[in-house]
Amino acid sequence: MTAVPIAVTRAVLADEASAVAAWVSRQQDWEAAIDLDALQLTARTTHPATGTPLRIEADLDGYPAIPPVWRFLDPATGQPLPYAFPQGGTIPGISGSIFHSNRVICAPWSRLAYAEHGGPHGDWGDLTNWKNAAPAYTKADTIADMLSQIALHLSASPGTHP
Amino acid sequence: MTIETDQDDLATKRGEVTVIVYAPRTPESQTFTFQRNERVGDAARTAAAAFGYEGGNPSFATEKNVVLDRTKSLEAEHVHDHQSLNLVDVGGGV
Repeated sequence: MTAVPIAVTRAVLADEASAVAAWVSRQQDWEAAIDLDALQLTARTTHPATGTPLRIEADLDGYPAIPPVWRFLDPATGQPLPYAFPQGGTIPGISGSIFHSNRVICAPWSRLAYAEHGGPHGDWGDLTNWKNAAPAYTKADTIADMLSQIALHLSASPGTHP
Repeated sequence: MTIETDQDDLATKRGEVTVIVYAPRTPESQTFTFQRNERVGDAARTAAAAFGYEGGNPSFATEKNVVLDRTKSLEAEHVHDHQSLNLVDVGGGV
């Protein structure tokens, strides 16, 4: 799916790349890189509770008109790996985890959360409304904001799914 | 050094706290001075607006990802002068 010209997506991602790099530099155990040719972000970290290596990828085609596809993959092979997905945890002051039991990041900024992509939400309207779809819940309008949200919720996750 | 210490003392007497805030979307930090009795949520909202955020549920987290209670004051959350804070959204998952 391409909701905007590829050149627009590349330009936006090139503009955001410095913020992503700066955010990563402030973290203790993260690395991330945006591939502007493939329109893909690959991030690596370890689960803070278990030390399990995590590989997170975002398919960025159509961004920022539509949100990325976020996936947790096998760190070695890059293949989808259901048991690499973090379990939800509780953070005081935050209403719920973004790590849904059906193994998708359940947030308006996650394409796979929408019913049209197999997710639980048919109530958020069109994908292009993602920045305003659920204002009372997690909000992240840039790639670095999304990584920050993933890191925050990972910090409360008790582990990955068995 | 002496001047800075004097300025810190003056700020403390005025009930102010100066913090360095990092926001994910911006490489550079910004420095803010708030009243110590200002609520975390209000201070975070001010900082978020300065970084260009609109809406959402901003709060601060420490460098160890400890999220501050938005309903409490900066002082009650033990925010101290020149502390580095990360701007985070605490809207939660759905």
